Amino acid sequence: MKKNKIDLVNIYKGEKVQLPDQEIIKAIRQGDKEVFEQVFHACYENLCQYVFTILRDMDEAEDIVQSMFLKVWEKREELNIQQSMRSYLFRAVYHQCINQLEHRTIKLKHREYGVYEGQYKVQQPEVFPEELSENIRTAVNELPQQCRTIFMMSRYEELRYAEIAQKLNISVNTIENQISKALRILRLKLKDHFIL
Amino acid sequence: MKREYDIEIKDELIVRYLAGEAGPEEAMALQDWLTLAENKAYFETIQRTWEQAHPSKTAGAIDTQQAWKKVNLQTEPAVMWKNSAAAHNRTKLIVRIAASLLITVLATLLIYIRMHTTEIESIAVVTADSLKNVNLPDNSTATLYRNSRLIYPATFDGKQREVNMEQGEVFFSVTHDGEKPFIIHTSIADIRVVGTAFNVMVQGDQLEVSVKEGKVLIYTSQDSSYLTAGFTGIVQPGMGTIHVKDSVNANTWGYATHRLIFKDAPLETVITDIEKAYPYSITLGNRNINNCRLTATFDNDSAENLLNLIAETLNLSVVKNGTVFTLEGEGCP
Repeated sequence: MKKNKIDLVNIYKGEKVQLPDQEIIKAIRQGDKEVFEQVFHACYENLCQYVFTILRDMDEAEDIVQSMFLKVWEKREELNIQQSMRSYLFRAVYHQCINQLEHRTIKLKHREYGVYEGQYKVQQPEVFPEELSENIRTAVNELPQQCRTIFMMSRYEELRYAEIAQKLNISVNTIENQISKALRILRLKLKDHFIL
Repeated sequence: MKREYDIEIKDELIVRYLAGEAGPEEAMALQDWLTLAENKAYFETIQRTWEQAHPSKTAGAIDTQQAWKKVNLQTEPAVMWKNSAAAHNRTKLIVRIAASLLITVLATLLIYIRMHTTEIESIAVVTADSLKNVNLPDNSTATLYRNSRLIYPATFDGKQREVNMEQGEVFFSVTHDGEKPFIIHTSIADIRVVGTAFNVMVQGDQLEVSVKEGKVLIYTSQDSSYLTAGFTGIVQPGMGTIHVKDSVNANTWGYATHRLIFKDAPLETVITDIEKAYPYSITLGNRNINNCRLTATFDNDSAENLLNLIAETLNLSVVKNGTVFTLEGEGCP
């Protein structure tokens, strides 16, 4: 079975939709390293970018994606994939991320109970990362109240939409709207003076 | 382009993706959508804002080749591996800092060259409906507001730097020269400084000086007074006495600096200040809009941008027609 490299890459960049996926999966199951490598090259960056959005740490993101590929290779003979290869990979890393996040929450809880029991403030997030420039602080501080609270909880306390919704007792939809609004305002504010 | 997943790409989805809330199908749909250059450009404007709001959490570059080498090694024997991406990130950071330094230096150089190639030939500067920035022979600058008049020599030869301001309003930013004080003569009082930034307003027989930085001396034949940053001095008509206030309205010189600061300010004030600083007028589609209050800092924003921001903040919309902006919407109770 001879494969055209460029074709495979294009497929996974989303330019072609008809995937000879069963062939790819079959090849990997049979231990075709070349095909495996091509899938890796086609998907690695996109997967890392996606994982980064969830974990906000590129080292961790690369670790997760790499070990997922390793797992696929190790278990190649038992590989049973119904959807496309790409979907399989995206879902796999997604679940891995959710696990990782739960891990973090547990760790955080242990720490909180140990040291700052019950001191966690919800209503008015105030802590900016230290390296944040003054004009961004000002811009964020001047967002309309609810918009600012939600934006800060998402961006600086790194809370998930669902957690913010629960803490503020509002819908996830409201959060989406408010964060989009915050970005629109910030984009306008920062537009005329970009920092490199 | 046909998509594998039938998911519509809206601002909310882009933000959800950036916030790490997108499911795998959404992420794939978005990444497919990004293969189109114009979509990518739009996405990047939002992403840039998102990253600017938290610079430490910026994604570094991904080296697929390097990663493959690592994974490939692992697929043969089972060895433990550790990441080296941190070092890579540091190199990227250094390159970025160097690039930003370089740009700053170039920009400064450019400004320097421009300041030095500006030829000052006329001695009297008069404005009517527009503003004018004047570079004085000693590199001090004067921004003339509308209907103002300033006279100065082509070179400052004497022991002092002297200019005459006949009417109107001028924002001076005077370069420091301890040897040669800078003096502004008006028909009402004289103002003497060493190096500072301040605003002078001559209206009829009243003179008002407000100080942004440094120290200023105002004197008449009857009275004299030092003003420091944050103070305003008013020379009373006729009497020549000086009244000092311990406050300034920094937006007064917004026309010169294009920096406007509002703290819970009524919209009427906001509009007055903006109309002074920019050559546009602002009308309201609804009286209730006047009830709104605004907290905002504008620094060198374009008028258009500034009004869009106000509209977005107060849930209004803005329409531009020539030099008139109209704010529409429900307003505030």
